[in-house]
Amino acid sequence: MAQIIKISGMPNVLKNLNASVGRVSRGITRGLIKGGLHLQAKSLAICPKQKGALKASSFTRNVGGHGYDADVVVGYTADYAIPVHEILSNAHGKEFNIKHAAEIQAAVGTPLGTAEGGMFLRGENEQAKFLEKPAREERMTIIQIVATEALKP
Amino acid sequence: MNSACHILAKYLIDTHGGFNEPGSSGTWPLYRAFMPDAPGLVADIACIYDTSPDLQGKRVVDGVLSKRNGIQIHLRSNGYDEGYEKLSDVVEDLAKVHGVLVTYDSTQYKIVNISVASDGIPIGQDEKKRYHFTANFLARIVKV
Repeated sequence: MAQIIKISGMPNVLKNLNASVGRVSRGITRGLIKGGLHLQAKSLAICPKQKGALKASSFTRNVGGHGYDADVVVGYTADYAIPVHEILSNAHGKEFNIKHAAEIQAAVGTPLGTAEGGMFLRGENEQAKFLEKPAREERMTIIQIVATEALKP
Repeated sequence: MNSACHILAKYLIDTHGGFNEPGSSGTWPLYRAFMPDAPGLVADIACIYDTSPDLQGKRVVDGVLSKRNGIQIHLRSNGYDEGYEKLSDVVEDLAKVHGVLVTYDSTQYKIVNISVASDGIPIGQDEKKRYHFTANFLARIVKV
């Protein structure tokens, strides 16, 4: 015997589904930006600093569109950022402090001991690969940040 | 396990060719972990470094930490074209490596695969007007 089943409320289902898709896509954009800022902060913590130009040139920017089209980039605009990032033989951070210990001590209170002179104690964790390293180490945290934002009601 | 840069240096000298042990009479000496600069040293040299690994968690079967070793190859050359071409050759060759056996320090290793993390990029000239290039890789290497 044939039965007729009537389903009601489909317009509401579709309306809610569309609203949810929009919310998730906005959440993903927000999460990508938050994740990018997290990476930028981790990178700034270890990026070599003398006069501060490299640090000041860091950015997190959405170079894509909205929603699922978002494309968030983290980087540095200083022209010397690539050599500082890539040349691993240069001494930074603790290594710099050890290598130039005597010069740093002698430069205290002199122009050489200023940012311009460069002979001052550097942050211990400053190093080359200051963007690649945190990008690898923080990958899971960044994914978690994006997921959390995407699932926010 | 020995450092990935030493194992890959062995591969590049013995199998890939095009590089030689530092101190030998061959061209393109390949240094490990430090690029020297001294009067009398040839301009065209290369250096291979270990960089931060890509940790991928523990294997379910045995709990061993699975990771891909970070590797950087840094070339210094008097000529832009020579340096660029040399590094391009290396990138092309390493991208094809799959299941290659290498013996280093009496231990046999298998280079399971190598992925190119960043293609060869020119990073500028130094004060002696020599050109520098780098390329980055992730290599999975296991002890056989």
